[in-house]
Amino acid sequence: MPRSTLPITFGHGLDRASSQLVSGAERMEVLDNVLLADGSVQPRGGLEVRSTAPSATYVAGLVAARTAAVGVAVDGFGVPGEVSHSLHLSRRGGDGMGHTSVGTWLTRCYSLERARVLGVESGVRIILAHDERSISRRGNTVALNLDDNSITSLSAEWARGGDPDNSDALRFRGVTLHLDRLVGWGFGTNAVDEPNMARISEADNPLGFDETKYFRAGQSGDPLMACVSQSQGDSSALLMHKEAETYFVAGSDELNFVGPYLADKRHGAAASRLVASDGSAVYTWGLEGPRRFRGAGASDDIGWRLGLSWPTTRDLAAQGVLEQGFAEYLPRRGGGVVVFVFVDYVYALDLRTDEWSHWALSSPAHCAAVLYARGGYAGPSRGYPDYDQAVVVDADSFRIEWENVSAEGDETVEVWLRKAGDAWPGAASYTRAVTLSAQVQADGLEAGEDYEVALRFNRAGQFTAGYTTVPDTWPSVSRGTFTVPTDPPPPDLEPPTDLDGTVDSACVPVFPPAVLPCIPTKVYTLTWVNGGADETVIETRLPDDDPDTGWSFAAEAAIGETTVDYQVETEPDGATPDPDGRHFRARHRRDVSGTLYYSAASAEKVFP
Amino acid sequence: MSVPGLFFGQAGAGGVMAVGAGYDDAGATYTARAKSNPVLPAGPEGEATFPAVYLACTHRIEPVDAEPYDEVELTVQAVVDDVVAATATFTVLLRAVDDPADPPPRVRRTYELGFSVPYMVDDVEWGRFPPRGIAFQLLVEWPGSDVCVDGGRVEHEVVSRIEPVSN
Repeated sequence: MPRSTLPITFGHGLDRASSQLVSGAERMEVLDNVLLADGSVQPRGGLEVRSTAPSATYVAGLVAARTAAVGVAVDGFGVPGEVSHSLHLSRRGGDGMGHTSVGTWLTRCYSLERARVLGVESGVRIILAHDERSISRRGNTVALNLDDNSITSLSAEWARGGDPDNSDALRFRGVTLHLDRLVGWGFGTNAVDEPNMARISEADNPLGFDETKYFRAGQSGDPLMACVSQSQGDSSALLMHKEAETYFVAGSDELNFVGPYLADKRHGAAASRLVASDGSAVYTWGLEGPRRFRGAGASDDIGWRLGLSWPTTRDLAAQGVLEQGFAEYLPRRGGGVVVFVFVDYVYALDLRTDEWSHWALSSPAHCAAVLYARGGYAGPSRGYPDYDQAVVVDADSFRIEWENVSAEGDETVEVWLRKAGDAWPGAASYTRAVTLSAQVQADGLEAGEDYEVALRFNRAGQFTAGYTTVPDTWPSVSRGTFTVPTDPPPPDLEPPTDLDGTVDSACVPVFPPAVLPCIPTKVYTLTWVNGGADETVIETRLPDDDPDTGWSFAAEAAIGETTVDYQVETEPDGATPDPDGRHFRARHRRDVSGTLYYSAASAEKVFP
Repeated sequence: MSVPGLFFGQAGAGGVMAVGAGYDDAGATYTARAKSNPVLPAGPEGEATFPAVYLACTHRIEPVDAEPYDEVELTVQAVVDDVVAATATFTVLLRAVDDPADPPPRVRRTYELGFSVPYMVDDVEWGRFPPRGIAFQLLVEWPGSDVCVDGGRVEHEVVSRIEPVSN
C-alpha cells in the first residue's frame, strides 16, 4: 500500500489559527534571509562592496544621477556629534564601482548621529538636503553640478527676510521632483523655521524659488516628514507625509494646484526616508507599521502580513533605529521588492505576491539608491586623453587642450595639476570628454614657475588601465608641462604720427611683446590727481588681433587743443597697471566742426 | 540602455554595496532559514507519525569527476507540535560557476530524509520511532547559496482519530 503523504510548500498549507486550508506565507514563523518565489524559497542575494571612500566612517546618502549613469555618495567622516564630523561628496559608478572625491559639502556637520541625506537629480545637478529636525543643526541645501563638480547652496534673496546680514541660503529637510519642479520640504533659513511647509520651484528653473509658492500642511508644529510625487492616471499628485497624517496636492501648475487636502488622517511616514515608490503606489512605514498609498485616499495596511515574531515599530523606536530607517525599491525580474531597512534589519515586501520576508544584514546599511549603469560594456575606458597644450589665462586659471583617443563617449576627463616638484594634490578639474579643452581654476599660479599637468579618463569611477592614483606613472602622452610667464616685457612703442584730419581716432603704433597669446595689451588714459594717476582702459587687444600693424583707438579730445597722457601695458586681466610701463603724451586738436587733428610727441616718463 | 540595481551605503564604513550580488555580506556568510506552514494529517485533533520527508531543491547540476564544485549543506529539522523532534542534514554539490555569463544549468532534485526519535529507557536507547504529533512543520537552514528549496512532501501515518461518542 502506498504511503500517505501531504504536500509541504513554503507559503501554503493549513493554518492552525484560522483552520483555513490554505494560508499565505505571512503565517510562516521563520523566513530569514530569503525571498519567496512561486512557492519556493531562495536565499536573498548578498552584499558586495563595490567601492569605498577611504577613511569615511559611513555613507550618509546615495543619489542616482541617471543621465550620467553614476551615483553620488555623501560620505560621512569623523564621529557624529564631534567637531570632526563632516560630509563630503564622491562619485561612484552606476554599477557602484570606483570612487572619485568631488568636494566638501559640510566641513562641520552638526548632526548628533549619522547624518541623513535626501537627494534628487535635476538636469545636470544633484540636489542634496540634510534631513535634520533642528534647523540650527541642518546644513544648507546644495546643488552639485555634474559637469564641473561645483557645489553651490540653494539661495533666494527674499530668504534674508529684509535683513541684508541674514544668509540667503535655503535649508530643506528633503527634496524631491514633482512635475519637473523641485519640491523642498521642512523649509528653513537661518532666520525662519517652517517645518510643515513645502516649497515648489519655478517651472523653468528648478533652483529658483518664489517666495509666494509654497504649501503648508496641517499644524505648524507637526513637521512634514516626506513628500513624494505619485502618478494618478494621466496626472500626478504630491503626497505630503507627516508622522501620522498624509496630505495631497493635485494640479499641474500655479493656476490649478489645489490642496493640500487631508488624505489619511492617521497614517504617514515615521521618518523622512521611510518612503518608497514602485511608480504606481507609495509605500511608507508609519507609526503603526507599513502602509500602501494608492491614489489620493486613505492608505492600506500591509503590515498585518508581517511575521509576528519580528520587531514591531515600537521595538524599532525603542532601539533608536526607526528614524535611521530607509525604504527603497529593488528592481527584480518578475516583480520588484520594497525593502524597509533599519540598520541591519530588513523587511522585504515582494510586490508580486505581497509576501514579506526578513533579512538580517551582516553589514549594516545607512542609505540606499537605485543606480543606473550603462548597458553593454561597463568597464573602465579603453582610451586616453592626448595632451596638447596648456595656456595661462590669468593668475588663477589656465586653459588646457587635448585630444580624445578611443573614448567610449561617456568619460569624464580629470585634469591634475601640480607645481613642479610638489606632490600631486588630486584632480583639479573634471570635464566631460565630449569637449577637447577646459579652463581650469587654479588659485595662485606663481609667475615664472613650472607646472605639470596630467589627464586621465574617469568612466563611472573607473580608470583606464595604467592610470593609477600617481600621475607620474601615467603614459607620457597624457602629461605635459607649462610655465607661468613672468611679468611680460613692455610692448614696443613708436612715436605716434600725425593723422590726417578725416578720421576721429588717433593711431598709435603699439606692437605687443611676444608673450603667451592670452595676455592682452592695454592702452590707458591717465588722469593726474594730486600727483597720482587714475588709469582708465580705453583699449584692450590680444596679440593675435593685429600683431603687425599699429592700433587705432578713439581719442578723447575736446574741441580745441588737449593734451592726453597714455600708458601702454601688456599684462594679465586684473593686474594693476605698472607705473614703469610705457608712456607717451599726445596732443590732440579738434576744430569746431568736430574734426580731429592730431600731432604728438612720444615721451617716456615725462609725468609728474 | 541603462541597467538598474539597488545599492546600500554602509553604516560603518564608506562603502557602497551592491544588493543581490553573490551570496555573502561583504565577505560574511549568512544563513537562509525558512519554516513551512504546519500540516495536520489527522486534523487539529488527531495525531500522526512523520517518518520521512521528500524535499525538492533546485540547484546547479552536480559536478562531474575532477571538476571544481561548491558544497552546500542543508539542515532540515522536523518540528512536531512546535518542538524540534528530529534533525537531518544533507549536502548538495554544485558545479562551480566558471563563467558568470554562461552559468551551468539548474535542475530540480528530490532528496529523501528519514526522521526518527529514540525510545530511551534509563539512558539506553531501546528503539527508534518516527516523530509523532498533531502538526508537522519543516525548518530548513542553509548558507546563502544558489540553492532553492521548493518544498516537498511529508510522509505520514494517522495513528489517532477522533472517535465518535456512542450513547
